[in-house]
Amino acid sequence: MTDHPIDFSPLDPRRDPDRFDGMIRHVVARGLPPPVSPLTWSLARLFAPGFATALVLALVFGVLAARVPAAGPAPGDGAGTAATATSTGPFAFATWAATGGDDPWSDLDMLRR
Amino acid sequence: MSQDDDRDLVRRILDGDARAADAFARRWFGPCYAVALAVVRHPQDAQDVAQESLIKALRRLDQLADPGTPGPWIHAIARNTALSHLARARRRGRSVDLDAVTPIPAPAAPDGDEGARLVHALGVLKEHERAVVLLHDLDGLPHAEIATFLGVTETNSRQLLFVARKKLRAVLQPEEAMS
Repeated sequence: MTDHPIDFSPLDPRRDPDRFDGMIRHVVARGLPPPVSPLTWSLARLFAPGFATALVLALVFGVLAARVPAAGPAPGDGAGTAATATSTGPFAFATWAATGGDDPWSDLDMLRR
Repeated sequence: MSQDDDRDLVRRILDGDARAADAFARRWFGPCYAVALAVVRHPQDAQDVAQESLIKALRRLDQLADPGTPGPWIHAIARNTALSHLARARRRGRSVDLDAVTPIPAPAAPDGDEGARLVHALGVLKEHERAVVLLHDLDGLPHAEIATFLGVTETNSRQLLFVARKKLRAVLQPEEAMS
């Protein structure tokens, strides 16, 4: 008698196949990270070198711009402070970056002075 | 399913194969549900626990030490998830059967609801007996797989099944059990 299985079919979640499939889909959707689409990969590969170059340039110019104020007029040089604030430092760098120049290296030397 | 099949399935899921994840969820839903039902003793809650367990398993699959034998690892996740579910229900003060680990007398079941009658009858069993009889008679797992999944010997699995069926029959078919 104990060799015969107990009929647990009323408790079987597979009795309702649609509902069971829904639960499986829910598990897969939440358990598996969403796949990256081929288009996203292509765009990432296309723009990655450009982004990397832009990042390096931004870092280099950022460091240079940060050094400029340190090489500026000495403290206490009150008369020239307002004038040099527009011709040196980040403001001047931003102006130079916006307008451009014939010789960027000499411009940079000027900024450092 | 062989160890190589399980290993291959795990590898494909880690590569992002959604079909493999689907196959994994179908393969392990039954065992997770059986373990959850053995603990929470509520079919709907057990389905929720089984889903939650499989989601956790899929998300942590890279932590699986032996991809060829995921059963014991999945069993641990399912049982812990079920116990957490019970603890949460207790904190919320919800009326659930908190005597899931120790046997209790089966109360009278409502007429005409065979599922409820079975759930009530499962109350006479210990948790391990419930797990074995559900894995074997509901999910159809052989004793070798049940033994690996639960971390018991095959002989132990057979003994637990024998005892569980005997106790259940005494509740479900008292006249037959007496004869």
